[in-house]
Amino acid sequence: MAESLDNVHSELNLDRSVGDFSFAEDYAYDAGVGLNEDVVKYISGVKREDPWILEFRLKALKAFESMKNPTHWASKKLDELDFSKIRFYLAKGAKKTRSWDEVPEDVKKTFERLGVPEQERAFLAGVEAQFDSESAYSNMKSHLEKDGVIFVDSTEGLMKYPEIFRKYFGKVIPISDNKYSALNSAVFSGGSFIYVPKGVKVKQPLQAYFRINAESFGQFERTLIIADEGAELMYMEGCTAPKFETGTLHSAVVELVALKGAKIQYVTVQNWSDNVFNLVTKRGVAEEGAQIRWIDCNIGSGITMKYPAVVLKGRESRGEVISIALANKKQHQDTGAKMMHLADSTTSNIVSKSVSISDGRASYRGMVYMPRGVSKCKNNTVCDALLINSNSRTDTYPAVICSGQNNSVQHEASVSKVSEEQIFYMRQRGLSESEAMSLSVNGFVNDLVREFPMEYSVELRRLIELQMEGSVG
Amino acid sequence: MGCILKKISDSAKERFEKIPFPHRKDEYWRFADLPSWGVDSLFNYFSTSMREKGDKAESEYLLRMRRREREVDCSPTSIVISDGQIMSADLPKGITAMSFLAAEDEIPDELEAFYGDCRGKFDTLQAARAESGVVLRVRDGADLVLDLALVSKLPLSTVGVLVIVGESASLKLRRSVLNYAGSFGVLRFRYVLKPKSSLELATVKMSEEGARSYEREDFSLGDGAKVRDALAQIGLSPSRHERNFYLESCGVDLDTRAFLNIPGGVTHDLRTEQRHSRQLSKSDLAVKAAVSGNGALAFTGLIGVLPEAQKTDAYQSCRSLLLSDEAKAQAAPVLEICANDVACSHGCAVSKPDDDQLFYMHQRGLSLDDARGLIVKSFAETTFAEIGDRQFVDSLMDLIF
Repeated sequence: MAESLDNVHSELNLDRSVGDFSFAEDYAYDAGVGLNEDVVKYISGVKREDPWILEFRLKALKAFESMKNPTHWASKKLDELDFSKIRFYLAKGAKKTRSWDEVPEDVKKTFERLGVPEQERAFLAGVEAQFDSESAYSNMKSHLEKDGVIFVDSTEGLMKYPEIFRKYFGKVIPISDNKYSALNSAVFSGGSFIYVPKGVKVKQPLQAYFRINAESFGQFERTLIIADEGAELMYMEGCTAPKFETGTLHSAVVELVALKGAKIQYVTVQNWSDNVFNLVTKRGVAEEGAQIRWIDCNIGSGITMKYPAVVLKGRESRGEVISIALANKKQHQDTGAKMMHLADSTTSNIVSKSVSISDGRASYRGMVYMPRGVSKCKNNTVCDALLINSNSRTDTYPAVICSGQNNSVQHEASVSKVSEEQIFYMRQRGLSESEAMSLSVNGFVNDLVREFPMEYSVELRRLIELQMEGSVG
Repeated sequence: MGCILKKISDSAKERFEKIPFPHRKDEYWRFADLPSWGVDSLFNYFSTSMREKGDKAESEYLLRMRRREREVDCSPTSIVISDGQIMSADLPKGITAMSFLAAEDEIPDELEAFYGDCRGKFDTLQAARAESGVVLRVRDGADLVLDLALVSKLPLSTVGVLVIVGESASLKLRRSVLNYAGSFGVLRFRYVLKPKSSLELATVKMSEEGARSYEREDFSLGDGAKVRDALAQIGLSPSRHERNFYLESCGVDLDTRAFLNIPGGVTHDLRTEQRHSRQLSKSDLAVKAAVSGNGALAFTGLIGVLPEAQKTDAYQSCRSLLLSDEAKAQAAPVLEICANDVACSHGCAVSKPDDDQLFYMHQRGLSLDDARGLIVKSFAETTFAEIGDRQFVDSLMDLIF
């Protein structure tokens, strides 16, 4: 068995630890360790923000300090986070550029190793690359600029487009939504701000790449995407970090606003190293006839807590969450979805697939809410889990609250193991046990992987293969 | 009172004071009328309600409840327990009934296990009156039918019932739980099934308006035990019901179904647990609810599979039929699976009666209300499909509809 596993490794010639490298730390701005008012003021000062933003941050800090970790339902591991040892802001002080040549050498090397410039040339409409707290590079195809599309980092968005930014900022996810959204609101830095004007359809995806380079660091990007009436866009984000001895925190807030008839697709491939606490709040508001799709793949991190939500505020709006989670050794992928049907004839669909390997744990937490007074709303939820080893674990915690006229909700969840017949069939045809297992798992998630853009789906399949390595025997 | 029961009772009284009554915060997902379960209003509420009762005309529902009580009393093999006391008992050969006080010397371990896991306010309340209980013991190899009526009439009526089914024995138990207005009925049941025994359990729960009922049932299932269980909750007042199935042995076969007919203004809160801790067991749980007016169903179901419970089959479903715009259903079916060679699934669905079916029946001369009634009846019928005595099932359906 061991022999066959070795073969798999050499054949694939791919390194799961593709992001596991770092460069020496050399930062012009460092807020030091721990979190207090001075740190918040320091971040706001470095960014030369308007007073209202500092006020917003300080209010959020108070909310964060007053809230407890939700360990009564979530993982007790959250208590291992020591905020007094985390660095909340690190920046090189170099200006963000529109050319890879002007990006500092080590940052450029980082993104080159991750293949970001290559992808930009190949199929993206725009790229933003964030290195620790600040964006290092941001560029967008010129024709989109002419159409009035805005794609900048959130700091620039706040400075240059306050009239749009302020209107929606913190409205979809209020400061005190949860402890980690409050933390993000207090110390946020980086992230994307996108505005797509009325009727503009961005055909190629816009991409952001988030990279953590420093140890004991917290990355708190804040993304706000607004699709005006009839606009369409796809946004993709990728995340990596090197593996350090100490824990690293990633706590993002993502707010989407899809105005009448707009469509937003938000694709995430999360491949943090397994010392990262990935605690993310994502929510979108869909107005009349609008569509919001969260396509989410969680492969990395030590613990992920992420429940993308759609507030279906306008008639005939639609929300969708497609989620794949792979929980390998010592990982806990606590993911899910929330659909709030607040208008008539709204529909939502949740499809979640998880694979638990070794002592990994995959959890689904979901909520579907249809209050009194709405009618003709429909929801369909399907959660499938695959358990590979005898010590793997999976949980599902869905909540369905339904009343009102002509509404219907369906929820299904199943847990199973890889079919022995399938493995036997593939073994008979010459595949090693681990190859057969890997193929079977790929088959299990295949219908969801197809929902990802082509370039990502190929990468995803390879990542899944790598995750499966050593899982048999 | 002997020392075991006294100890249990004293410790429960102490804990009862410390455990808070349910609060909206703890019960975030619930929409039960929490103040009516609260300590300040509880006893005042029931004494007021008792006074009011005297002025009210006897309702058709009350007559049905009384009829059911008489039916059980007249059954050739029956036992009636009213407010914790055995009122009448015509027991068949092979079963013995004794009070908890009498059982204290004979089966102290079983009694301790009965009270061993008090978790909430209300089961602790029952434990505070630990001596109020009955043990029903079925002899090894016996094959019996027994009607059991549990009547609550006092403002606070608590009773514990321990049912022990001996090895290779078979018991068909028909339970009628009757809660009269002004009474808070607190019931605690524990079924202990010895290896290769079987239990066919059919329950109908009725309660008048102005009553409250709490019930907790624990099933401890031995090797190769088989359970066929059907529950109909047709009460007119709020209830909370916890059903815990502990599949602690190999080869257990459990099929449990419940139907809840929920009228306006009433919340029925049903919580189930299917806990598998040994391999090769099977459990299938199905809950159906028809909710009218502004009634509500709150269902929480857990399937838990421990790493030792390989080759488990566990299923759970919850279907709710909303018959009005104000009806509400909340379902939280939870899976916690720690073994890989298992087949587990849950499903839940909430919808209204099918328009095509209503139209079909309406076309054939049925009023829309009758058509809806027929849909609800057919929806409920499968609940009793596994109960062998069809005559008894028919009489239950007559009682329900």
